[in-house]
Amino acid sequence: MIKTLSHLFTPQSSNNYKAKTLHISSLSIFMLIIMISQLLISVIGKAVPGVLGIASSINAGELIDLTNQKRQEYGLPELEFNEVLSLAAQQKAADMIAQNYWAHTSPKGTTPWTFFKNADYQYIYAGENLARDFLSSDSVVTAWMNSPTHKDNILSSRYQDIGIAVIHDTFQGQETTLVVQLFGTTAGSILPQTGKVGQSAEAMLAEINVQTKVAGLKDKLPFISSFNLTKAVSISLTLILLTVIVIDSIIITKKKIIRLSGKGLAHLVFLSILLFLLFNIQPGLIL
Amino acid sequence: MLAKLKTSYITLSLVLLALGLAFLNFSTYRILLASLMGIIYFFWGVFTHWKNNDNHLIIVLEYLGISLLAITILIFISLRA
Repeated sequence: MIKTLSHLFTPQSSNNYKAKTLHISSLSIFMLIIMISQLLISVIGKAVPGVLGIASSINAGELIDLTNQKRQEYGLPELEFNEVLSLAAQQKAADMIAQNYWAHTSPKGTTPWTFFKNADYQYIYAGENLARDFLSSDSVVTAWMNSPTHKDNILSSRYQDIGIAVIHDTFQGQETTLVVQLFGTTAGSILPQTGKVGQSAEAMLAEINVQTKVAGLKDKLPFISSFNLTKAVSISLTLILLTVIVIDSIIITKKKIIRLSGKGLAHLVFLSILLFLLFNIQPGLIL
Repeated sequence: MLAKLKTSYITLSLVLLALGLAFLNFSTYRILLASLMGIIYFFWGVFTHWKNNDNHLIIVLEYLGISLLAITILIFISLRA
């Protein structure tokens, strides 16, 4: 046992004076472990829905408040919550889930503007921001603000109304949270198609928030986060490699062994940056 | 010689850090940035050893292995993020 560990982690004659873990064969095994773990995560996610996914606390009201806060910081007027626009956003989210696509335009060619028209929102200006897999409302708005095109939508003086949909569902094989944010300015009067005509914007927003909270109840949340699982596996493998490189470099320097090998310090720098990225990466995609 | 080596390491660290920060902040380009980091590291290794006249297949494979492993890790975490 000790002999095997020593062969794996320290340079000696049995491994040609280089820890076996650093050999190309071991690095290939590491790569295989990553790929197999990802395959397993995907298979489990599809076979047992609700086990893997991302648990978030995103809330429509918070997203609107944060969006308006950003506009205020830039001296722009606040956007008005619009129930018709929110219905359009919900229809867009439902369409993405039903047709399993992550894009502004559906595989069938349906553009975001179709949902505005279907909800009878007669726009002269319109825009759409999408987000998925984020853990909090704050991280969604921060990601949008870091992207020039999404930031343009949030800070556009052309828009007067905002509509939002926050949907917790199984999307592309895993439990996640999908956010559709729509912006617009109407050409004239708005005639909603549904029975929401008499409903005030506040009541509608309250309803959306309740729906978000109900959908986010603990029993509906995924048991394990696929993102955290991938992160844990990646960090573990990187830490093992870093430790072996440090041990290997110390022994080689101490024993003054001359061998054909890459630069330990360079590997250390590269893997440390990789570790830094793995610790700091946050889930979430925007479009 | 030592000064040149220092410059070489500092350049590598700064380039990788810049790409790393871009990786964290621009989620749209994560796969591209991850690949770029791996490719830059691989060529940095090969070039550094070539300059020192100690480039051998085993060394090239070592850099290739570590670069590919890092790219694989970063791409998979990006796809899950």
